[in-house]
Amino acid sequence: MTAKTRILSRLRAAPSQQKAAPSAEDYAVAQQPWRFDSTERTSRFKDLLTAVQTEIHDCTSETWPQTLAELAAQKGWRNLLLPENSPLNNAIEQTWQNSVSALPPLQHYDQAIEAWREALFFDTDAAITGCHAAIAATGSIVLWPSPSEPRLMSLVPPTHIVVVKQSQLADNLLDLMQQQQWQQGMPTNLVLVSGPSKTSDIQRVTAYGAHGPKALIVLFLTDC
Amino acid sequence: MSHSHPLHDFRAASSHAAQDPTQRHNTRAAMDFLMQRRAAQFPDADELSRLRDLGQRIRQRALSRLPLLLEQLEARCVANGIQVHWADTPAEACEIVAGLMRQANSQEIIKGKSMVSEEIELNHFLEAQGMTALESDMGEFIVQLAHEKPSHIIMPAIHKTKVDIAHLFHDELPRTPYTEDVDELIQIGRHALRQRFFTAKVGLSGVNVAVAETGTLVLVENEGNGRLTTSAPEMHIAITGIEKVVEKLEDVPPILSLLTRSATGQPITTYVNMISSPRKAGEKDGPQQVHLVLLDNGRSQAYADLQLRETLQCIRCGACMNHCPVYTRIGGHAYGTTYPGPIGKIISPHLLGLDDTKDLPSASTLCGACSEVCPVRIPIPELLLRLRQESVTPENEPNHPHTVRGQGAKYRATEKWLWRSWARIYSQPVLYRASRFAATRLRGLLPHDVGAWTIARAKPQPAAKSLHELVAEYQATQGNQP
Amino acid sequence: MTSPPKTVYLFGTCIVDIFFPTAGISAIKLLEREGIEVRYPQAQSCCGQPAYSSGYLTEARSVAMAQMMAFSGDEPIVVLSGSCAGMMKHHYPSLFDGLPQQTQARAFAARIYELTEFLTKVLDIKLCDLGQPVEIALHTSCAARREMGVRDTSLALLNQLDKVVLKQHDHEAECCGFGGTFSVRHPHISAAMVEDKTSALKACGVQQVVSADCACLLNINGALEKQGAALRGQHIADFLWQRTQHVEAKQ
Repeated sequence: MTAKTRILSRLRAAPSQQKAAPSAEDYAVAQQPWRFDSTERTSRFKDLLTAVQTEIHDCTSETWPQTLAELAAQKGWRNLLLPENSPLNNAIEQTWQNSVSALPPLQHYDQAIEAWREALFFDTDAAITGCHAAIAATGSIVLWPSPSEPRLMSLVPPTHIVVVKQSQLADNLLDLMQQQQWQQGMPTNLVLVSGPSKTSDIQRVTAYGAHGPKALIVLFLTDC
Repeated sequence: MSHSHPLHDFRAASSHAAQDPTQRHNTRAAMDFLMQRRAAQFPDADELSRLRDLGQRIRQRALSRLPLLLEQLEARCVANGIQVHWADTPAEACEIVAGLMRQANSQEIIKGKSMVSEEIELNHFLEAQGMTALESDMGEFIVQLAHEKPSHIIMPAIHKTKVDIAHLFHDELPRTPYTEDVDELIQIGRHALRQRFFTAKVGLSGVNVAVAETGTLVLVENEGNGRLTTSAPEMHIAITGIEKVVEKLEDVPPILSLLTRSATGQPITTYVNMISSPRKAGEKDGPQQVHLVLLDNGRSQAYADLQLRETLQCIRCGACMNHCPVYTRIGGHAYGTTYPGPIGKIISPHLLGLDDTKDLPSASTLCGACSEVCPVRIPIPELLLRLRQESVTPENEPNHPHTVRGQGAKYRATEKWLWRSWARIYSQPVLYRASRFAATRLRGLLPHDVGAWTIARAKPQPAAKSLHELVAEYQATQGNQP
Repeated sequence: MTSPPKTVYLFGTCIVDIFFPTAGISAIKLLEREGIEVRYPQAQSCCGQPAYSSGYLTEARSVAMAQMMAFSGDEPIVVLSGSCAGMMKHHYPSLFDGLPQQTQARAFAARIYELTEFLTKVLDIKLCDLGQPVEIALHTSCAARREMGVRDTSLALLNQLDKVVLKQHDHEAECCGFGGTFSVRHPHISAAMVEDKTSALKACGVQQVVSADCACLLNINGALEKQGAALRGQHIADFLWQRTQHVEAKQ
């Protein structure tokens, strides 16, 4: 008998006790207390992220590439990693081209990790991605990695910049999941990010930049 | 399972720990911190109560359909491209992991935090095979470097101070200057492990929730090592107990909310990592293979009994130990089990048998601080009472279903006789009156040192007359009044 | 609120019986002052908890049966301890689960009140403080707090006493470390717990400790005595009676 057969037969031999599934009313406790008006929604999202050392910049759909360029110059990144082909890329590339001051070179995640693993791990300072959605209740950004925006982009470089549109803000995870019917098709890897990497494993002192990005920068687009 | 260590003596270890002022001070400070963090997350008692109700319902519903959900989980995972393995025992689970490592042609595995891997003593097993397991969670890394075991399921190195860790890093890591600066210490850890993430071919992680509906493995963490472990190597092995499954994806948000708020007092962890498949065609990173190992190791024993089954509702938040007055006094290592504290006392007898854990169920005042905070409302004191019954019920007791391995491990004919005599005295008024009379009238004869009691207390002093006598006298005087 | 019963039973508990008997007399006097007849069956002994919490159900049952017989009738049973009340109210029904005495155990459980619960919730007692100003700390047993949910009723009674200042102590909600046989099975853990509890009580600078559970008091007072401290704990029944006793009642 295989382990599977042994385990399942023991479980099936156990007394059965049917328990009803929780009702929609039961689940409401994970939703109702976490619904906000539009002002609250934005302020809560920002406050929670700021409380864990996330840098948030209010921008518009016109100004964000300039803000990014200023940050790039100011932070001294050696380079900036872009998705392979994202709606973000055009605006960034144009801003870079038009810039009078020197900006870090742009790279694209355009080949499989095996081809450039060392460069990603040791020589990439910052990466920018979009996001799938954001959540006010917990101050979270929903990343839905894709062939264009692979999962290591938001993880390996020391700085992760993410563009969040105000309209992408949902109230809470359960509402978002239900509205978008996530159970119909989950991606390879879905990640909620709620700040830069941190740990409190040494005497309960919080330190940032444990293994993932030391800095999380949100470009928050207030006009879309 | 093959024990790599001699049988742990809980009574000796806990006595020793309870008398160690430094240990007491450090653990108390850490538990106070975690209790305050949790309390700050639940300002609304009604919301907390309803959320706990929901958590309990989700977990009980899932357990009531466990065999079905496990099959559904397997089917969904397989459809998604995740390979599923079943392990009855720790030895089988270790073999599966080692086999997969050989298949990946790798002698080394990098690990995210996994209490199940501690439970099966994977690191020890791999070392014996000439293979290496490297812990990457900062706390686990520290504990591994110190050749110790985690003392807490959420904060493995909570027993260590930054001074301890400063010395440890300086002594054990090459070219590491001595520093007590926590940021610097973390950067030392980051640097040491980044190189290993770069080269690792196989990563191993635990699972916080497995979703049957979608075949999704949910992992929570703050550091990013869990994401690296599950994203950077070419093979990811996830290992979990069979009880961690939930029915639906929509069960995840309430469970996460209960888990992170109860555990560390965070509204959410920095990362919630949901894995549903290996790298798909066209994707540029992520592991080529994802394997899920489902471990029983005694869980089906708990499952076989409707009361003991409640043990399996646990989501491993650690709030029970953070609030436990016993854990606070003795720390995690004294338990000698992978899972310390109240949850450890009720789950370990199933994993290890009562023979090896017989002193755990009695090491509680049944104060109920644990069940008061349990996010899924496990009635821990009642389960402790049940395990106490199992411990003292002899194996050959008629009409007693033999459900727990090691039943009767604490049975002693002399103790049974004592309780029988006690019951006789307390159920027969004449005998009780005599014993009461003896206690009050002969109180001067009590020895000054009555053993264990007088370690911390003066000997108890019976009153000159019992309440029974005082009431009789009082009623007589009342009756005499005109 | 329905009108209070004319007659109640008092369950003293075995620890009050031997170690704190005056608490029983104080409770009787408090109840009688409210016009209630108090019956004290001489056949009572112990709720059975020591055997029950050690895993000896058969033995616990025979002691529990003896109590159910001693307290026949349907009058409320007022218990001088949250822990014993919890045993009788919440554990008797499951102790006799599936046995012929189950109905009896349930009916018995429904009659159980912890003393402070009865005084506040059933009698709505009004107390007039006649004592000297005093600062006290309240220790609530774990069973009273969590199983019976009667910490509030102790507080409500003490708050009626206008010359009594109630002070908080550190980690007030934490167990004192008694735990029945736990205190001798795991003596060093228990010792560490009572050491911290008594330190907290001493540190809050009160003249007296009050509790509605004598098992905790046996533990706490024993530790205070061993430490050579002057501070002691008293059962709340004694404390309430002493502070509200009218001069004429003393004569």
